[in-house]
Amino acid sequence: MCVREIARAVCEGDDDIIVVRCQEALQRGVEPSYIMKEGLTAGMMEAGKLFDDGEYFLPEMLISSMTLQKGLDFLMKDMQEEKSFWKGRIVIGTVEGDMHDIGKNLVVAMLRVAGFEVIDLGIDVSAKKFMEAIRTYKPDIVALSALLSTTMMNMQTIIQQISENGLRNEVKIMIGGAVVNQRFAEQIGADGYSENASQAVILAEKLMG
Amino acid sequence: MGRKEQILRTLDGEYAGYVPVIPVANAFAAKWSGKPMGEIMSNPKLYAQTMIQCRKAFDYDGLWISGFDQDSKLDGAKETIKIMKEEDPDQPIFAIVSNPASTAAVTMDVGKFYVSMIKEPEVVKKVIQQVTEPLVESVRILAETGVDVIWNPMPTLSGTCISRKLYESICRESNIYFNEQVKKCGIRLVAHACGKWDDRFDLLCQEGNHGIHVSECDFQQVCQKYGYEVCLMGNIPSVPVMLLGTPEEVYKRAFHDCTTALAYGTFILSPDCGMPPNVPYENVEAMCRAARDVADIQNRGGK
Repeated sequence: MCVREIARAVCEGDDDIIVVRCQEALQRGVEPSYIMKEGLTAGMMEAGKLFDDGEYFLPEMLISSMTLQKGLDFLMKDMQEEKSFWKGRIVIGTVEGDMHDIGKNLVVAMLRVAGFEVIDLGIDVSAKKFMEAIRTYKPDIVALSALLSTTMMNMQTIIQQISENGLRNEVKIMIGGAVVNQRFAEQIGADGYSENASQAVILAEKLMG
Repeated sequence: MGRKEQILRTLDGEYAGYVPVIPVANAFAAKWSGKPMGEIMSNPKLYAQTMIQCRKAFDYDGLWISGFDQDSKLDGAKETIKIMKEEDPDQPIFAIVSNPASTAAVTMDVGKFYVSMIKEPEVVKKVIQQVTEPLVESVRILAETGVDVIWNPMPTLSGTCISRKLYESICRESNIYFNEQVKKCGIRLVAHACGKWDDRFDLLCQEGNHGIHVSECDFQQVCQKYGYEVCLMGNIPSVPVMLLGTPEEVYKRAFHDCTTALAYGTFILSPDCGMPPNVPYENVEAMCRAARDVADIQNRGGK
């Protein structure tokens, strides 16, 4: 029941009470991983469904995401040492020249509650920075975001440079953003494309094998 | 009647024997020139000449200026406009200017804007109010210098991003006011409905736009419902067709969009958003060819 309350708080964007609800659940002996899955993730998935149904839009999703992040930050204090908790590691960023990040931030939130460790490089991320991140963090997946037709070609540049530097076989690459599509993903040699944050989680899980 | 006159009449809802082709081509032109975008953007003369030369090379219409809704860049804009009017006088000049709500979103950071729309709507309205008059003043200066059309991109306010309810309660009033002021300057106004706008095209029509540049929409339905009220612009998908398609696919789509729209009102052919810089040249040529062919048919039909 208390975990259900957590899901409701996330879905409705009730960020004032989320930490209290998580605390209550822990005090009742509920495992953090269970709270994350059946509370935070479930709540965000409900919000995602409302988004898909056209009832929620970006403002509502952002507020749900903020609520989720608050709960996650609280729980992560206990969990971050559990390496085995993570399904995989993902490096994500908006490509060079592009300052858009709302969609990317929603993807980050969804991937985290789905159990991925996510290193967010932010916006306007150059190929050089992506390669540095691959060498430093050794991710399983690199996720590229672009929202403009003028910046989307930087995805191809980044993939090319990752290949030229001998790193291509070390990572899977997924792309997303309003201007791109599956055909573009195939053309530039990405491993997958996702249309939205929920699909990004499914794709990431698929790429992990 | 010159080309500019034909295009302005098209925006006014009168078919003038010509189907204008007006891609948002500033990034494409920069790539075509072979010079870095940064170099072009920082040099008003080079910028103007690049836009003019590319337009003439492909024979599409329209000259674009952008990034000039801030005081610090207006001097550069004035010089660019002056050169465009001297060297390509029979083409309308389009200025990309965001409306107050879109500007407020960028000023506040879009994420905070969205969250505040629900949590602190009065704060958002106040920010919109504060940016309105400086924007109106910028438009007045652009109009006095010779801009013919304000192209107002609003992806942040689309149905992809916010509900119709939030659009109506927070953005609409300032949209109407801003549009009235733009029209008082004697220039035309095209709203770029980037993203999903099917549930609120009626509002765009009511806000006093001369034209609506559409993207993801039920194009047939939009033409039927609104083609008599506004000049429509679009609708070739920028990436799947213009960038990734063959010239034949571009031609077919362009021809279809022109004939669909012209059955209901006036139309300007264009990709559905900014034209990607890497669009193959043959695709741009195919787009222009389709518009000319449709105009030939229309003119023979006596419209």
